[in-house]
Amino acid sequence: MNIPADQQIFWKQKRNLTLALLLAWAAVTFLPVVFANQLDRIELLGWPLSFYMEAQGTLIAYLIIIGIYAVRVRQIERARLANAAAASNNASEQAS
Amino acid sequence: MSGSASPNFSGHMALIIRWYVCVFLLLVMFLGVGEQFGLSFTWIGGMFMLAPILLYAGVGILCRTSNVSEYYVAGRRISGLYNGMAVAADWMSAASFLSLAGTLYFDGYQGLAFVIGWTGGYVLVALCLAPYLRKFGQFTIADFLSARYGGALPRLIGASATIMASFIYVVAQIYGVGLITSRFIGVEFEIGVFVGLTGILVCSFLGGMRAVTWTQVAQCAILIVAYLIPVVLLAEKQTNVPVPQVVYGEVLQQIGGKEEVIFNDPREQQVRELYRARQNEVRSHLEHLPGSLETMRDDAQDKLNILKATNAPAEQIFAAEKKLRALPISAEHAEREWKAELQKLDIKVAPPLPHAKPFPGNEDESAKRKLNFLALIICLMVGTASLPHILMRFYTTTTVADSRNSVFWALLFISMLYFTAPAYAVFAKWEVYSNLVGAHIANLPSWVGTWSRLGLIRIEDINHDGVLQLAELTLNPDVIVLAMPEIAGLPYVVSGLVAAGGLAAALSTADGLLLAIASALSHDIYYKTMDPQASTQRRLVISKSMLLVVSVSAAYAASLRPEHILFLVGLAFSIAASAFFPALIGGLFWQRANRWGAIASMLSGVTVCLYYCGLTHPALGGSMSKAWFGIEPISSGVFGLAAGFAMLVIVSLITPPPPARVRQLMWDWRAPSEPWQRAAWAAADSDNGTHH
Repeated sequence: MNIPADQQIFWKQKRNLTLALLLAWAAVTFLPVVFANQLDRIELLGWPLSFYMEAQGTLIAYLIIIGIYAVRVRQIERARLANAAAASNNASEQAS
Repeated sequence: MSGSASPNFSGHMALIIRWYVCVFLLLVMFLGVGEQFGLSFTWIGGMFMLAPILLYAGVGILCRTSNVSEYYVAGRRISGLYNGMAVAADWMSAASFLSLAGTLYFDGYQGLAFVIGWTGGYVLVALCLAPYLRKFGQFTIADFLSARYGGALPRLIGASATIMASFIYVVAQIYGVGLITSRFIGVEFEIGVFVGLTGILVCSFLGGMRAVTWTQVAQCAILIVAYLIPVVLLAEKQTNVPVPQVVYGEVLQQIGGKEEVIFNDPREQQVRELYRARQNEVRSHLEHLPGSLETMRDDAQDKLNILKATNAPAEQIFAAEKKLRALPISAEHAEREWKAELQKLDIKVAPPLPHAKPFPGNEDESAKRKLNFLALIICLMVGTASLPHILMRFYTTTTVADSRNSVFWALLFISMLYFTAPAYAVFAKWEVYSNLVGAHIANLPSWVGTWSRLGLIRIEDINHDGVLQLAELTLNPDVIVLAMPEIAGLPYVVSGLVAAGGLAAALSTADGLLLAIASALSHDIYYKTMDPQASTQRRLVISKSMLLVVSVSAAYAASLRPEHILFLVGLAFSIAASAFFPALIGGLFWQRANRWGAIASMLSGVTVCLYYCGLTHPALGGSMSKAWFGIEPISSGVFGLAAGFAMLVIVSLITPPPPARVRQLMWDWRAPSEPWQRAAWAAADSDNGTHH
């Protein structure tokens, strides 16, 4: 069974986006915990930065990651569907 | 297609739900005015319990359906925003609503593992699971396992793990319902449990997933409003800024200053010394069982005899008799009671922890805390991304794109609560440190009295100085949220609103869980495995009767008041994570993963997870001295997860690769959803609905 080339390209785009965002997710989740004692000395509006990250900062980052994913995949999918539609139009024009 | 709705049904329901929420808020105001004119608390409490249940019953009747697709996946017509709200309500349980703020109060920074763990999982859901499951487009998680790995065995194991994880969780929710109703309305715990059960059943029984979805949308709105109002008003009172999430940083700093004073107070240290002495005493009693119990009984008897012989005042004799009767009746009882007491004393004796400090203690303790923090967030995140009742919800959206959007909306609504929970903890701590600690026990604020009568606050003046020291105060974690309206000096109607919010949180989660269990039993085990020829009608009858059986047995289990309820909830996450996550991720992204690998992964994951719990949790006869790397039993999922992934890879590689159709399937899930596919799904669903 052969997978069409454009489908593979589409999947590669989506996979790379997913991997990049998963990396960002792992970074915002684990780095503030690993470096908590260092961040504790920095202060932000009354909060020690380590406390702020776990209580709010990381949550905001999660929302941004999910938002970026939803918007970017929609763009990639639309482009792929537009391409596919154009290709099939061309094919039918050539056939007629 | 009997009972199927017009395509515009969703828009229609959205409007009705908005009306419902408005009417509910009007009711709150009406009761608030009524309270000023002397409406009794019993009435207000009763209205707050009755009104939402009528609301849910109304939604159930409006959404009644006998169409399979409507019943299991709400006809796949829920938009991203409303599915997000339903996921959020499904997700935020009695534990999030009542106990999270309390956990943060006691554990400070360490408790933030719950905030991170219970939100970070949604990134995994959004990026790796929801869109692919929606593209797959069936009814349950076991459906996915069976389609990807083939055969009845993956389906049966998946369905059993669904039932195991969800049942534990649903017992905890129903228990929460009983607690809230018995505290606020003053009915018996058992009656509260069964009243809550009616609320769950009228809704899900008639309308299945469709009714549950729309009820959850309303519950999401109610529970967020109820959670925010008290702490917003308190923030306004204490700092003049009504945005607690922003201003509590300042309050946190003031707490840091107070902590230094309180922790170093000589009287505070004296109290801890007294508790330490008591701990040593209990420990030596425990070592000298059964002799120590007999000595204690003889002593008490002697004292009573002397009092009687000397004609002492009646109340002294009465007190001595009571003391004699309070002694454990046998050595076994004594051992259990004293061990429990030792655990409580451990908390009293331990040095208090600064609220904002990450991983305090000496190097060893600090490293252990950090490791446990990491293990817990991994378990909770992966568990979130594996809980069947949450994943099932993503089958219900209109399109694949909607499933991605709905994760965003869900996390947004969940964050409203989780941003606020640390603020609750900090404001409550500020109140305790500035108005309670160091005050005369005779003139404590009135809310302390209210909640100590209900047993949620205990005060023991162990050094008899008439002044409250921090260690002399014992708070139940739930009291932080429950007492907040009174701490802020708000009228009773706000307390009623908080109770209604807590009920909404518990009932919405229970609804989702019961539906997940009923689907596993009726769809996976009955229809797909035992009787594939069953008619639609028969499948729905089976599903509804399963719903009834499961909810009554869950209510019965909850009415036994199991101990360690919070640990059980944590265990549900670990079980779900170890059972499903490796098999789901492998199934979606690794073509070589095969049936035997998945079966080995699910079985070994759950086995390792349960084994580790038994090894380390005292309630199951284990002890922390046998722990691996000092990981607490609540995070046993990390080991189950590791075993699950290892077995998936090893067993898949030593057995033959999966058939070629699997490759086609996986590429189908990856392809963008094309508009014509929606029509195909709709046709497939209506086929399901018309086979009689």
